[in-house]
Amino acid sequence: MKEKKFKTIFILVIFSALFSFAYNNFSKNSIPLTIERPEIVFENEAGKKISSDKIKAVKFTKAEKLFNLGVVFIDARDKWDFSDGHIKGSVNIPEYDSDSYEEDIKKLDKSDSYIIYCGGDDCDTSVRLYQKLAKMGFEDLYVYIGGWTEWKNNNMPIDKGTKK
Amino acid sequence: MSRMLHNEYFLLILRLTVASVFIFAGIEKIADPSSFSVSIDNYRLFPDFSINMVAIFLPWLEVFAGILMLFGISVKETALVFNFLLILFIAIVISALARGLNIDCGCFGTAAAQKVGLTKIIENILLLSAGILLQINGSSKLSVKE
Repeated sequence: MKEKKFKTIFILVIFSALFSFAYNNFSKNSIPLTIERPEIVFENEAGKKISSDKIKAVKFTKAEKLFNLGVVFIDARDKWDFSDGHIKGSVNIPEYDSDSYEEDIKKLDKSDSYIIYCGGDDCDTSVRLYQKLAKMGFEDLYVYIGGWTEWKNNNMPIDKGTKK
Repeated sequence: MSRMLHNEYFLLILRLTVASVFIFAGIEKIADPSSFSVSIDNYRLFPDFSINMVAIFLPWLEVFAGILMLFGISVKETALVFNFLLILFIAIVISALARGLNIDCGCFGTAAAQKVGLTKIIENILLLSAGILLQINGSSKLSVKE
């Protein structure tokens, strides 16, 4: 009886595995078998050109400099985190948002510079948004790796509340 | 109480509920595998090579096991599979909470953007309780074999 039980489960698992990988192979939403992580390169001060398949990133000092120059920050976290506090003047473009997502991106100017950030150095939403915007033709993007946590810890200017 | 737990109609309701939840969860993830892959990645528990494979395989296992359970085929076996998954999910959510991760659970793909949290654990424990009853008693009411 016990043996039969495990045989059934074994067949179910093997069948699901075969079917799922075959389906993924032919599906229009197919994903690669392993994930590929983009390489993140910190922009050096000399302004050396970084190839377009890599992610351009900035550290705190550079982010601060660009902030003071008036470069717009994009907050890739969800709207609740954004509402609790965000970098002053930043625009919220959360990953899974819904209705206003496309509209918000349309409001941005592709030839402007943007710095994208999320919670801190252990989140990837900023990198994914970077890739998405780069694909759409945005030319001058940066990821601010330290993100919200580092900005707040350095007592930099912040705002609270939702976007208007 | 004991009689109720063995009542075939009660077990039928549990069976249909558990099966529907897993089928729904599976379909939502199949519809958008790349989002599910991101959700798995966010837990920061799995090695890079395994993430997409889990994202491809797990939803279909949920759907197929769910369909079998829905029709009352091998209920005890599919319940065992679900219970194993649920224990795994509970452990993963607890570990995410313990590490202070504020992430979407990915439980139902992007259909219901639920954050990991206590509610998720309670939800899974309720499903697990139903799963354990089904694993012990089975449920053959309104099954294809009946």
